[in-house]
Amino acid sequence: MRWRVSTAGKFYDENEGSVVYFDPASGDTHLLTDFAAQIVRELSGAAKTSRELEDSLADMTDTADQAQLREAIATVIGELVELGVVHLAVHDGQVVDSAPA
Amino acid sequence: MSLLRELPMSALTERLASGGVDLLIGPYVYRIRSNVAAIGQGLARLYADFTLAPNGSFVDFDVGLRQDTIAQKLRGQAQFLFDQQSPFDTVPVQQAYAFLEWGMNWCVSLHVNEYLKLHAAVVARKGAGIIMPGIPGAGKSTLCAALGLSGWRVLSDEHALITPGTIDLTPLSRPVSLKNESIQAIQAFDSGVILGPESRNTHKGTVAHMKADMAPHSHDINTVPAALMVFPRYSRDEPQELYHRYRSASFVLAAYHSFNYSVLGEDGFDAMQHLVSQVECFDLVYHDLDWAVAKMEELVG
Repeated sequence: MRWRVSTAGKFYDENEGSVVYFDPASGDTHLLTDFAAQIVRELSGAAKTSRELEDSLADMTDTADQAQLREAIATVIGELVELGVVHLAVHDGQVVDSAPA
Repeated sequence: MSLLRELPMSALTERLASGGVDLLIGPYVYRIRSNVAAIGQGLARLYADFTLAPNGSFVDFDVGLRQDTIAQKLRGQAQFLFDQQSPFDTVPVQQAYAFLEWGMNWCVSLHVNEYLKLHAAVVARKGAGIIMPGIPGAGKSTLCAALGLSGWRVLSDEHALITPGTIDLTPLSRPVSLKNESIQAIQAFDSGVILGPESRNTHKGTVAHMKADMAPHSHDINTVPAALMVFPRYSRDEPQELYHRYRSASFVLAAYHSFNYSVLGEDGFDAMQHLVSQVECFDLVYHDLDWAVAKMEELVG
């Protein structure tokens, strides 16, 4: 499955460990962890799979444990989906579940 | 231009009951109409140093607190009026003054969107504006009143009006609303405090308003630059402390305390970002007003 941010929003980041994110689609403002904000940034550029996110975020995290990183991404994606910030990427009514060829 | 205090009480009563009294309050003209005695008494006491608007001024808010029907008089009820319409139910006439003040707040809370508006007390010292957002009961009005009685300028007890894209605070000085124990706390803090009519058994308990325009230039309508945002919280059981807040967390809390952040949409985000990135943010937990005022003095150096 590929994930995406429907409309790229705005960030207020003072390097404090948390980031303010404005979602123009809903008009809501969220306080995100650095990690969650980075996921939103990654998905604002292009739809990505969880695996692609793992590759992108590996440098950002201290953990060498790939399984731990995968679990953290899944948790945050779930929360961002609940907030309406992140959605499944859909093309022609179908969930896009792999990277384009 | 003349001040309200120059109007004899009889003339004030007559004007309130007929065409209304037009007052310059911050950037606005309020027209106040009333045939309730407590309103005239309260205005004479608390708005004595406010300027009467020149004849023919554009009136921004036309408000009133009146007893007009026989039923209202028999039941001891009065009606808040906005543009001579009744947006709310009637209220006990003994609570009329508090409702007039709340109605005057409501005018700005609901109708003004040229500013980013925070539910906050705003004070100034040495040219530096301090925004103090807080939920009702947080202790912002009590602290605001104590600062006003300690030589600080009170810009507002209710609304921080920030021009988007700037840190400019527009003064909207009016009396400070005190509730329940805060009334005695402020009387103990300064026995010379000037209070208006007491309204008992309101939905907020007992309410009295304090004359707050004691500082020089209280009615200057020029903007004041914001320097700090302080989130006050009264707590009897916690240690008193003043500490830095992260700007990101302050952003979200200030947005929560805004009347129109959501209404402004992306412009609201931009305005808040501009503000928060340029002011230092603090939490202030207090239960002793002398201590809190001293800490605020330290903050402005």
